[in-house]
Amino acid sequence: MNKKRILVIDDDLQFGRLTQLTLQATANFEVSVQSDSRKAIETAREFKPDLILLDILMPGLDGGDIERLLEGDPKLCEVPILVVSAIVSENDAGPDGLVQSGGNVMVPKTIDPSMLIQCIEDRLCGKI
Amino acid sequence: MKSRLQEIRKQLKLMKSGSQKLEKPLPLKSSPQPEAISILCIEDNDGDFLIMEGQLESTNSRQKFNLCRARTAKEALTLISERSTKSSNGSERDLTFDLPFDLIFLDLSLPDSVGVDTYELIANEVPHVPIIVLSGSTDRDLALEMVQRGAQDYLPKDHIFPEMLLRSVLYSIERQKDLNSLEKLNLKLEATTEKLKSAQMQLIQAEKLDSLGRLAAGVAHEVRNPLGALRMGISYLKQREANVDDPSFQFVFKEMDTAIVRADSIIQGMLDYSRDDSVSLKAVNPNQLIETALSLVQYEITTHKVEVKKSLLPKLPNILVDASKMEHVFINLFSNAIQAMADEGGKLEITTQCGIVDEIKRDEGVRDFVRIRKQDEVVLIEIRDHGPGIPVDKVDRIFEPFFTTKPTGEGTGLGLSIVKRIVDLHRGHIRIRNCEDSPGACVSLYFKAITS
Repeated sequence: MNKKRILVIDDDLQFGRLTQLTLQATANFEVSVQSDSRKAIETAREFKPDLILLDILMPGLDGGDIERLLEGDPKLCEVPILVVSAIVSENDAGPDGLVQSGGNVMVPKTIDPSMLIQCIEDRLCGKI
Repeated sequence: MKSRLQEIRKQLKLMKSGSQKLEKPLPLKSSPQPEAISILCIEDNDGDFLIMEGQLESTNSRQKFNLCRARTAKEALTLISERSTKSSNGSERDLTFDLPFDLIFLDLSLPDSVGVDTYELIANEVPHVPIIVLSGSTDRDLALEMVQRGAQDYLPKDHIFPEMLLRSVLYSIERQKDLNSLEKLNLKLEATTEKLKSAQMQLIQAEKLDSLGRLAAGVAHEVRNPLGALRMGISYLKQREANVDDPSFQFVFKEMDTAIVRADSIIQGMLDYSRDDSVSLKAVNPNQLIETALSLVQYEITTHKVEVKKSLLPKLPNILVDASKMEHVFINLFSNAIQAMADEGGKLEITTQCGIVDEIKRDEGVRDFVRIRKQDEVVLIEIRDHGPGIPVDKVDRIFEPFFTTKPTGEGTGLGLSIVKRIVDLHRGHIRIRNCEDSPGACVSLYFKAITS
């Protein structure tokens, strides 16, 4: 089975690096991290991810800005996005690990990583 | 009425003609019989006591005296405590003074106490009762010293005659009454000042808690980030349980450790900030205060897309401040700056420097300095935003309590007044003005540097 390519866009480099290690340890993913949101689109074009884990609160361009840029990019508009943020708590999440917030769906950053992996897989196969 | 005037004229005539003695007391019809004056005469010599008693009786006055006598200081203290109305455990705030006697005659040379000590012993016991020192000596220096210590009068025994004694007694009582009222007013003033101080502290604390509420979401975000990292780390270590020799282990452990320190420092910052205490001054590095305050408003900085440009002088001298209250100052000023630039995003510039007050241009507000003096080494902290600035007609009012330029419901109007209050408490100086070269407001804070 081909490894799925995941791009983590998060200004918190520590979270990014540990997410990279954890996801890669499952042997199912190839992960790249970009902590400078202004370089996110460039990196996405080069890395050609199957899915983007996108933080919301970032200096420079925030998650919303990136989402819009991705939608406007012909090569990237189809890439599924999973929003991961520390603005919501695990307590807010439903049994599927997702937080529904004002029409947006996001995964809390403090969620159990196995749950995050489940969410990534569900998103990849279009379940969410 | 006519006859009364005549009598007064007659008295005046007598006084003008040089007579020291009033033939009769002025027959003021409306005045009731004056209350007897209770006097404690502390005098060991029987002869002297009898002379004093005689002098008082021979004053041509309707004034009556209740004379008590003590032969020793010990006896005097016993008499005083017997007549004391106040219990010893009475509240300090109780503003009724203990007056067991209206007046005390005090001979300084007693069998059990001599000289100034005698005075202090008695005066300490009854600080609000007028004391007239009676002495065999005409030593002027001693007389002056006794009056400086609080005695109402000093009378050499050989030079006393009835009218003079009466005057001395009456005037002493009046003067002491005034002193006592003054002291009561002073105590009330002190109590009010104390209440005001505590009200101000409560206000600072209320404003702090209010801003804590605003900061809470941000702090939660800042703490969840390292928590998320920790969870990732644990998950990674679990997956790799079998391969403890994996070199990435050390990396993950180190990252997790840093994540704990990050989470802890933000929580600690919030706790320090919310702490309710009076001013506890410590030597603090202003750069450190700025960094801590920035970490607590990081969420606001990110959400409003503000760029922070710091030019912090390395090796900046420490300042003597209450770190928690000063963090409040910075958090408040940073929040104001960020909110001022909320719509457009913008740049928040923070500069620290130090210098001698003389070198700062006069228009930098040095003229306003009350506590910082020329030649003092000061730390200058400048916080500059690129928002619209303060409306010119409002610049003079920004430190007024409840004055706000923010829309109704968005500001308490207390922020800057409390900032000013805190800066004043630390004997610092704050100045807010619009930038000259570009739109935006600039806050300058001056604090005396610790030089040693």
